[in-house]
Amino acid sequence: MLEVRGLCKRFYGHEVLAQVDLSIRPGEVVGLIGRSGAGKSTLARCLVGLEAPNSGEIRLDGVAVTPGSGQARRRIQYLWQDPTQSLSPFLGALDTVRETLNGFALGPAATRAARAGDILNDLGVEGAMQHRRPHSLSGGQCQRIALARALAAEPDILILDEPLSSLDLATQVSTIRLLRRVHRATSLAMLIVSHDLAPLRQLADRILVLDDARIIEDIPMPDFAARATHPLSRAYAETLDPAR
Amino acid sequence: MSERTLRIPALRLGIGSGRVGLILGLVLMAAFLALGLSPLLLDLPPPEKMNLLARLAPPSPEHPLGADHLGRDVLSRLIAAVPVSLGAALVTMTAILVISLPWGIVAALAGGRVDMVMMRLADIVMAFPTLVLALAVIGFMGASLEASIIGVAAAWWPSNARLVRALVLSASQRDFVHAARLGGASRMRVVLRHILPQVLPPLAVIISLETASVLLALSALSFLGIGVQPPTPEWGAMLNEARPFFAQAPHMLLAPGLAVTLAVLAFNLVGEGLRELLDKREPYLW
Repeated sequence: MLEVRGLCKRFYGHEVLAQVDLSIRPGEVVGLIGRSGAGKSTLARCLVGLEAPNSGEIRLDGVAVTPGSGQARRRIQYLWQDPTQSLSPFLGALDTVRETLNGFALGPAATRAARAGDILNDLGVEGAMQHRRPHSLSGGQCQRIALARALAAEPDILILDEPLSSLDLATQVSTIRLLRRVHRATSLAMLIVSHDLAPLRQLADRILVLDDARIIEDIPMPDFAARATHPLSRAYAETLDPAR
Repeated sequence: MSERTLRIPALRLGIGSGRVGLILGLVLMAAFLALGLSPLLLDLPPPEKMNLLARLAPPSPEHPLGADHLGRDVLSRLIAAVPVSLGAALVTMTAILVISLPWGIVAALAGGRVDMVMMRLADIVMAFPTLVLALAVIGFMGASLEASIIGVAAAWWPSNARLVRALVLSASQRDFVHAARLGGASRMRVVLRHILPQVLPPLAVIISLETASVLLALSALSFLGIGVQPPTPEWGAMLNEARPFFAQAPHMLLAPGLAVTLAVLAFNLVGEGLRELLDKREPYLW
């Protein structure tokens, strides 16, 4: 279980996160929504150690997660908002995934290339595509490779920062399907950052609403429209099409 | 006049793009390389051989570029100076890189106090004017080619280290570098596979441009008489030797002067050409 207590983050005196508490249970999918600049991405980046919080603590199964805690870090993986920028232009897809297997010494060294190929195959990155570099791949394909890299680490929690925002509508739909399939197959806990509630309806068990550096609501997804009380949450609830 | 009529062949080669400059620079470098190797093929008099009867002789079939104040063949000395002048510039640039590359990388990646201490040390060295620091080293070691190489390298490395640090800092902020770290890649692997490939192309441009400046600095030291010592031929030293005889034998000055100019031009053209090529590259295709 991931637990965050009293997390604070300031940039140049400006408070971006103020005493944020949250917890994510094993296998749970949590959506984190909020306005642009609300601190969603900063919170996500703090969880994986890309930003150092000013105070507060992050614990995974009771063990404090710090930038140096290698195995704890392996268990929390991150999917960038722009998948193309998150893949090395110098490596093909297979090498990108293999780098993670090598980095965490997962499995026998001799089988890592085959394992990387299997992970990519599972996500629909097959054949010659496994050797192509990101500049010759679409955003959706890059997203799958980035997901394969994160899954290769065998994480317990996957944090996805606006995973759909840089994709076209058709790719968004296929990515949502893919994420649901991955969740069913792995029972991976996920924290999905989004500025849009609609796609989370198909993925999330619970929604956190972040505003003004604080989590203002924590509502189960099925009851979101009924239980949202804050004006911002109400506004999000109104974007949901009741017919769907 | 229609646009079609403006498409003369020279423009289609891309004069404005720097490609012609790059080719011209590479041709000049190849010419210097051929010149450096030519003593193996040509029957030239030894560069140190004096003939006082031919003192200050103008260009002639016997001495195509004339003779100097000691009757030595200027062409022979000019060619013999190619490996000395260019070699010294390349060795100096290599020494600068050997210091500045790891210095800049370590400072950028270590950050905090390590970065602060390393950069302040570099700043202290940078506070001295380049030639003054080189002169101090030469004064301590005695005038020689080796001393001028060490002196110029000692004065030059901090600015390069600062540049490398800036390039590494910028490169290490890319998402894919963070992703490699999150993916468990070791620090060494991140540097070698993700940061250096980003840093090297712009660094190649800078190296080429700076080699020209280093060549000028070494020639200046030799011109002042504190670099390469007689009778070793070197372009700056040849200019120094020619100075008192400028009115009587201008050929003594013109040949090494032109050699320095063309060598500097070659490095600058290659540097500028590389810069323009890299600026126009498709993202991630370097």
